[in-house]
Amino acid sequence: MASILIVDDTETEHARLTGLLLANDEHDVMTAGSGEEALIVMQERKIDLVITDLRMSGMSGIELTETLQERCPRVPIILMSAYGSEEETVQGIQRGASGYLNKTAAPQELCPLVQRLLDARATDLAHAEVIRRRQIDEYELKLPSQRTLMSATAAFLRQRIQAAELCAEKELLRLGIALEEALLNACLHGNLELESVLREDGGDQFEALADERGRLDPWMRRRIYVSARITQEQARIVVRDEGAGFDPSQLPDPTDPENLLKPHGRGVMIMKMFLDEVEWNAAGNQVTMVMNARDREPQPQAAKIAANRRSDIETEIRHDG
Amino acid sequence: MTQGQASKNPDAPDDSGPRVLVVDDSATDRTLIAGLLGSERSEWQVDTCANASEGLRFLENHSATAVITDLVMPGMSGEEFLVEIRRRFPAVPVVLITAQGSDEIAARALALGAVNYVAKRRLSELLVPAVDEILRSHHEATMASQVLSHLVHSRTVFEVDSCLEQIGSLLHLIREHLHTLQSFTDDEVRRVTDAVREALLNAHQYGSVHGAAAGTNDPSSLSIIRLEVQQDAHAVVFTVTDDGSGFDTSRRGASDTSGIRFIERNVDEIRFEDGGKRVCLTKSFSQPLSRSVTD
Repeated sequence: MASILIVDDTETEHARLTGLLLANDEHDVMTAGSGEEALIVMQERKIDLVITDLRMSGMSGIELTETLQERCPRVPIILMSAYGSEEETVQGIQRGASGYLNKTAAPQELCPLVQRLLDARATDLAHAEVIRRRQIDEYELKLPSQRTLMSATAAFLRQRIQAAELCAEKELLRLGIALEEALLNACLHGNLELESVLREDGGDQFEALADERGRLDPWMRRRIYVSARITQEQARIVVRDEGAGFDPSQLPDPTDPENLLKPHGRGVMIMKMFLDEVEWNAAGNQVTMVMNARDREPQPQAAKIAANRRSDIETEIRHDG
Repeated sequence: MTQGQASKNPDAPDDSGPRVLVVDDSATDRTLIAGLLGSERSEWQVDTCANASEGLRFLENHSATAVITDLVMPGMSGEEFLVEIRRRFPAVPVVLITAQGSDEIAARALALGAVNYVAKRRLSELLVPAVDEILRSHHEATMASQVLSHLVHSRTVFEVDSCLEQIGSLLHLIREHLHTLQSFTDDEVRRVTDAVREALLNAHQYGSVHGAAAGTNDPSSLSIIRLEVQQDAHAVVFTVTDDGSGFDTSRRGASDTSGIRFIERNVDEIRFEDGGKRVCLTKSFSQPLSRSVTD
């Protein structure tokens, strides 16, 4: 039996929607008079689906959708309105609502939509479960020293770590920046042997030299080797370049905020701030970065839902792929 | 079919920049939209078509980064056009525009798979940002396949419960991944996924330690299936392992081995290891994956 929460600021609407939902199906239906109240209910109870009015005093349906997207992204939300505009509808769906219904259409369309979304949620949970149970995700890359490729690689690795759900959304951004700094270090300072000092007066000279060396021997022949191993516990990423290396002990003091403003050594400090472990080899041309799993939301058990829909899925798998 | 930007030659499309197709039966609106896009984003190549069937013909012959289509058109409607694009060109994002919309039409368009919906009266504010957003995610996808073109080796291991729901999700992930590689044709992706599905279903049906597990709904009695996906510049190898007694390889060719023959038809090689407990499927890339590894 699914738990459904109705959020609307009028009690007649609570009664009407509850009646529609319970007419043919068995659900556990709860109601809340505002978005704020809904958030409290959601903290205390396990809810499978939310139906919310678009326009309410206090928190709007769209604001509620946004908040729920952050807090419990896998709970489907249906937005309803008696006089919704096209813009509000598009906005609501793009911010994470799974469906929209005009209130006048509720008698015919609410139940089929609820059923469709509950089914989709079961599939979604199974999907999350499979990703959560990915044991190992490993990549070895051999990259030419191109700056755009460094950014692309950082984004790619960040996306793989995101898929492993090792950390919260907001930390991913910082992680991406740290990885990009490590890769750019390897590319620009390692392989292309460019000095950060060149950056301090505007950086035009730095850019020109980077482009030039990217086309000249011996710089153009050097590659960057990336190996990434992502497990359920941690991400370990090793970046090696073919440059001369450097002496890590000569880096600016990462605890001194003064150094954050200087282009030189900034990347290294960002890496040290955002990652759990950052270590260089003796030659200084290889850095190992580790981020341990943190702030993970507990995952609901998907297997139980799976059992109910066995025959549907069998058909899906056999015929639709 | 007309070219929105006079400066470009339609026979020599600029492959480097984004290409946006505008489909609208109103000539005024076509000019308006192409002008709007062209003036705000001069790097976009804009093409226009007067109806949906012309639009489909365009997509058969050219690659478009995004399609902007009117909803109400004579002949095939914008909604039907959208469904057809989703079916035949699933990678091409569609933005629906309309002068006679409503909240319900907007919700329907998005449910059918449009990435965005813009009312015509608000085109000047909302259309360019909508296309910008599409191009941003298109750019991200291109970057990912660019990175993967420098792949030396990758290995991903999944362990799932031997239940159809999780097997279905796993296949979905595999298919997405194979598409990202861009080294298999759509048909090859389908065939490889079919073969992996057969191997997984085989493990599901015969691979459980306790014979009853596959037939019960109690998750605690489900056995585990392990799928390892390994890939280098030349091929991708899927290894399915279950904790059952394994394939009876001595019976290959017998009437109940149609599953094996099905797999053989869809991949380059099928190999059994460890007394049939492990099955390895290998499929070589038709186009070489790597641009850098061989250098």
